[in-house]
Amino acid sequence: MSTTSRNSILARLRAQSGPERAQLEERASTNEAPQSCGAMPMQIKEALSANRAEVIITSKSELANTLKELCERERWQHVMSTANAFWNTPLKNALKDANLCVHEYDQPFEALKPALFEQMDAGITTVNGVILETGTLVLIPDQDTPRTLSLVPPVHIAIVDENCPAYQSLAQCMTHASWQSDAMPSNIVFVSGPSKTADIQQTLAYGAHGPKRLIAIVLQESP
Amino acid sequence: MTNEFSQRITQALNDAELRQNFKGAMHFLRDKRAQSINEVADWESLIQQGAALRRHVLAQLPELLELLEANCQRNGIHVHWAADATEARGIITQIAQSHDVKRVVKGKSMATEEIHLNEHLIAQDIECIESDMGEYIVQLAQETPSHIIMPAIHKNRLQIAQLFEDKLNVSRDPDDVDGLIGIGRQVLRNKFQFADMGISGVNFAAAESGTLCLVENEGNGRMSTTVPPVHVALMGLEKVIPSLNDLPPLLSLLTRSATGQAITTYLNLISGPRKDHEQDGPKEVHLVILDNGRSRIQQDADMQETLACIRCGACMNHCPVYTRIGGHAYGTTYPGPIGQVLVPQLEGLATHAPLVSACSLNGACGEACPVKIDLPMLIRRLRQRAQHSSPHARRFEGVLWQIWRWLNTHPRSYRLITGIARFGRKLPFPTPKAWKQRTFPRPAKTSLHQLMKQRNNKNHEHN
Repeated sequence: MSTTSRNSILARLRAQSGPERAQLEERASTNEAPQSCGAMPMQIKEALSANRAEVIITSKSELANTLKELCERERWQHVMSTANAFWNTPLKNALKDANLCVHEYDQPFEALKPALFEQMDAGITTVNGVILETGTLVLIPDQDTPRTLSLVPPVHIAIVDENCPAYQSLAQCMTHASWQSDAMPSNIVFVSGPSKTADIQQTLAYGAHGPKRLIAIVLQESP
Repeated sequence: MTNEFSQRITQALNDAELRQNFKGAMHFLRDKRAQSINEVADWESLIQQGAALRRHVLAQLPELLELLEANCQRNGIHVHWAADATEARGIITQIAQSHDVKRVVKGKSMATEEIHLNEHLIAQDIECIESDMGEYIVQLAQETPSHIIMPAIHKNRLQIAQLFEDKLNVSRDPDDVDGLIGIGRQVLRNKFQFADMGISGVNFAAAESGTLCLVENEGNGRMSTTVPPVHVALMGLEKVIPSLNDLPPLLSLLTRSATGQAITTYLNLISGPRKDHEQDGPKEVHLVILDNGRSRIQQDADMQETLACIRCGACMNHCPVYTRIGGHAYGTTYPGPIGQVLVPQLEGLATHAPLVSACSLNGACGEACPVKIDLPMLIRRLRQRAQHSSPHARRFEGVLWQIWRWLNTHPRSYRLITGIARFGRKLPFPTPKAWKQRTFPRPAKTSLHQLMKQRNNKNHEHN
């Protein structure tokens, strides 16, 4: 049984006290609080596009319009969006006469699975942070923005809100992020560009299993 | 074993295509790593930090594992302990059977290769599909990974296009790599959608928060751990780290050393199953902590460092032996320098003694290691142990060393013998067939002894 194995493994590990406990260097953590993305849209764009994300800068009031133009240009027919997002109603209104359906992720995955795998052209999600050094989006999936929304549809559209924190590095994100180690979100995903692989003779190809394209829409603070 | 190993080596050395594939790939990976390291302001101090951190972990493995277990359980993750491969397979099979699992998708995991999980599940009538593109290719070809990071590195695009044509009945221009990847994507999407269980490895497990950290570029790892209703993660017990704050330096060392990336496309932190109010994610998450010989290594003060490894593969990318013979010749789950050190300790030195001889002691692996594992030293120690356990080899080597000592203490005979040897090399002997793939080093025109003599003479003239 597992309990016996557990105890014998731990006993064996304890039998050897291990090497002298190495002195740990102080972690180079910055105490600086992160800035907000809305104040630095050009830097966000530069960081994210280095990983092949397509970046559009717009404003909160223009977002529904920007999304509409994007959907029409790409000739998408079905997109699924974070449930209860502020852009959903204006976007639906803007697209009322268009041949495009905006769905909200408001049911359990099991009910939406076929639609997500077979029907959706894009998934639109919120973003919980950006890391400048590596051009990374921090996603903390929750009830309204489930894990599969940024994963299964072939295009991931990430809305970077004005107040979204812009971390210098992953280390700064780990020290400053809002989660506590005793109350972790079930899933946190750091996304740096569209899905890719170099498994065939070291040739880089995009769109392995995750989204083939990553489009980040950065909302800049209104002047 | 000796014979099989040398047979595989000879076979690999005579396979021009295979050698070309490895030569190209190793060159590529070494260059990528070198470029990526240059971007870091102080790589050496990052290495110091990572090395200290990994040793800190080894010094308190039992405490960290208990903390990890407690916090994973608090987060709703089921934790299992497996003393060996048989127990690990049993645990995973039982989880599968209790959910009536028929279809499994797997993210890339060397630990599952180590316990030969696929064969076992398939024998239980469970479909088990590898979803990493490289692993999928290797599985289609009914082979094993030849590299721990890039499993299909031994194949070129022509061979892969041919494989897809043979096994999947789809033909693509071998130069259309996007098209080839597209085939894999299409086949595997369907597998993700209908899988009953996902199995993954673990790159790091943070004890303080009870978090499994998975690193990948393709998205298959996220698919395998998100879409199926049950997720099982298998981790070697040395993969634990104290907290998520320790992740950034180790992650940077891992991805830069492995593929020359500052970060991978996805870093996936899993701290629990789907919560009541959440819409997706697996309903059950299981963590299987695997010993399989690791606690024995931990007890062995001289070899303990083996467990500091973060599985980046830089040692094999820099190993001149691996570059020439490739991963399959080793005949082990883990090839290259880390495999030569790890596998004999996991599975017994008696059966794997020849492995440790496949090393020229050039030291490149030790220099490439991002957590400062002294691999050349570990290989030497295992060689010594292998030697001591084989009286026959000991006697033979003893005689050789006696001859060597006698020659080196009798200058006249030494000069005579080396003179004959140098002259002999000029004669047109036919090269033995087994040596065809080797290039003979040419003896220098003047020997070291002659050079020293000339220098001494010159010095005398000056005085």
